[in-house]
Amino acid sequence: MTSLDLPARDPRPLAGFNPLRLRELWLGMDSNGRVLQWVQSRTGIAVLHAAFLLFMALLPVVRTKHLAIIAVALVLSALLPGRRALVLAGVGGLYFLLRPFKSEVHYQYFGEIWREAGVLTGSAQAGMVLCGAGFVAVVLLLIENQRRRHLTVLAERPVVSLLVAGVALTAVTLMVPRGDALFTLAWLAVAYVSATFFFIGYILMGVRQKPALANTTLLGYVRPVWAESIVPIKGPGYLSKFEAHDAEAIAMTRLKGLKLVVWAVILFWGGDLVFGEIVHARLGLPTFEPLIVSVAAGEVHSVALNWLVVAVHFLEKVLKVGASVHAFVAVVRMAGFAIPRGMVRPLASRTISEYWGRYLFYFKELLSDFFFFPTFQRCFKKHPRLRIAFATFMAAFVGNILFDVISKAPDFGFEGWAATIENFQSYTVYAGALTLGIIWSQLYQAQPRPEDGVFRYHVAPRVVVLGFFAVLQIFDDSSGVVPFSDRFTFFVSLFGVN
Amino acid sequence: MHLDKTHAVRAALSDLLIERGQSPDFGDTESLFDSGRLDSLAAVKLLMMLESEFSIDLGDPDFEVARIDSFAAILDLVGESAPA
Repeated sequence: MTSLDLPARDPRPLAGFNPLRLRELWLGMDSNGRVLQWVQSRTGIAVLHAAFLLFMALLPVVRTKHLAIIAVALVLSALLPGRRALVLAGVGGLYFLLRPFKSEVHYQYFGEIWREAGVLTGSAQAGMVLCGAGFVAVVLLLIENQRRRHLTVLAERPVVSLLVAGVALTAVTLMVPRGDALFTLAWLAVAYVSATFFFIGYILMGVRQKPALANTTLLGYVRPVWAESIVPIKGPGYLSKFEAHDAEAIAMTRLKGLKLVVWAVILFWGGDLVFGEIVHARLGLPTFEPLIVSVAAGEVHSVALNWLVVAVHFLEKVLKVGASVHAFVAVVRMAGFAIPRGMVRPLASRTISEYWGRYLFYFKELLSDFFFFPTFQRCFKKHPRLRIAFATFMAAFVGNILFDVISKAPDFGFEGWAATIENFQSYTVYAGALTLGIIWSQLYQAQPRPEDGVFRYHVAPRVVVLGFFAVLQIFDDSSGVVPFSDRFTFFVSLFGVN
Repeated sequence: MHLDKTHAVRAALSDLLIERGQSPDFGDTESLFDSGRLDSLAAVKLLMMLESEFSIDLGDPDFEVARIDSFAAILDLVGESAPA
């Protein structure tokens, strides 16, 4: 439970049908003694898990195969509560061996590489398991080195060392012709490192924490069962702080997980109904990217319509991203870790930096942990404002772009340097504007106070913050499907420039 | 001296919580940053205060930001133990 979660309420007896009372009972069920007792019974555990998985299945953001892995992990954890850590590590390991990469195109590349190499077995899936097992062995060596400090540089700067190794291997994939054995080895290493870079970073950061975690537990975090993207929900050290250790705490955490997945379903399908079925299908409001393309092609729309589409797309995106983030945090909670939500009322933010922390909490944490704090600890110590500004630049700009480049590192060997990098034009503008916004917010944006009045406390700051992020989303893209020039044309059209 | 450090840290944390519209109360071992009660900007302010008031060297390779997650952890860092 955090202060950012919805507060638990004391349940009162249900008298007649009252939706507000039902909502109250629902939100307060994780502090209701009778409910807590029931969900510790065998029937309660079975019903809770069945309900959770049913709601997860209602979310298209969760792939069927991934849901199957999640189901196996949660059911085994419930059946073997004393071996929960081992179960999560084992199923996480299996998940990593079967689905190690970030995007479908990397699976295609792997298939081509494996066929060309023609060693041991013709099955790409078997090859993936084999290569994954080899990679896990390397991670184990890194963990051991972190414990024993055999290679001091590697132990003191594990993330930088991993980054340097990744850059060197990527350079090999650019310089050595495809088909060469060196290319194959380098590309395989890049593919595995890029998909697990930040997971391994968190593992290595957590190796020396106290109490120490077993290697098997740590290896389960190379790709934990709840990992949907390459953004880790922090690492083993963090999760251990929130681990439920007794039956009642586990029951409470699972109920929080169920509440969150239900909220995710409401957000997803509520958004789909309002925006998909009503706003776009019935009222005929254009969708975001097709409108950008049409404006860039010379079609003239009213400025008001363009702004309306920006606003609607912004709200749609917040709902869909929120549903996805909540679903996977809910899995972590069902696994017995009462971690905070990944998105907490972003539309209520009154400053840009507050929104950035509320919108994607765990991505913001990643940028803080890997880029902001290491810079802040070392640079410009005698110049407080410059120190904050530079650390923010390293996180919101350098870290943000580097995160995307790392996730696309396997593309370099196949698509070439220029073709891969040119898609980053728009994202660079996005990251630059975001960085300036956050720096300004941190250094100069005043936190409004209730005594400032309704308009200056409730309305104006939120209009500024939400307007900033709504416009910024025009450039939030590294796919290159809609080019930067089209996005820029649309951006200026918002101000009447055609 | 003991009380000075303890009071200074407690007051700094309470001020940060109030600035963010939260209750100034917290438990000695309660997670303040990892739990989301305080954000990274609050961590920055606290770190700068620890540097200037208690001469904590943030550049030390063994220093980890996770060591300021709770009142007790901060006191441990500045060389004090949490009051019983």
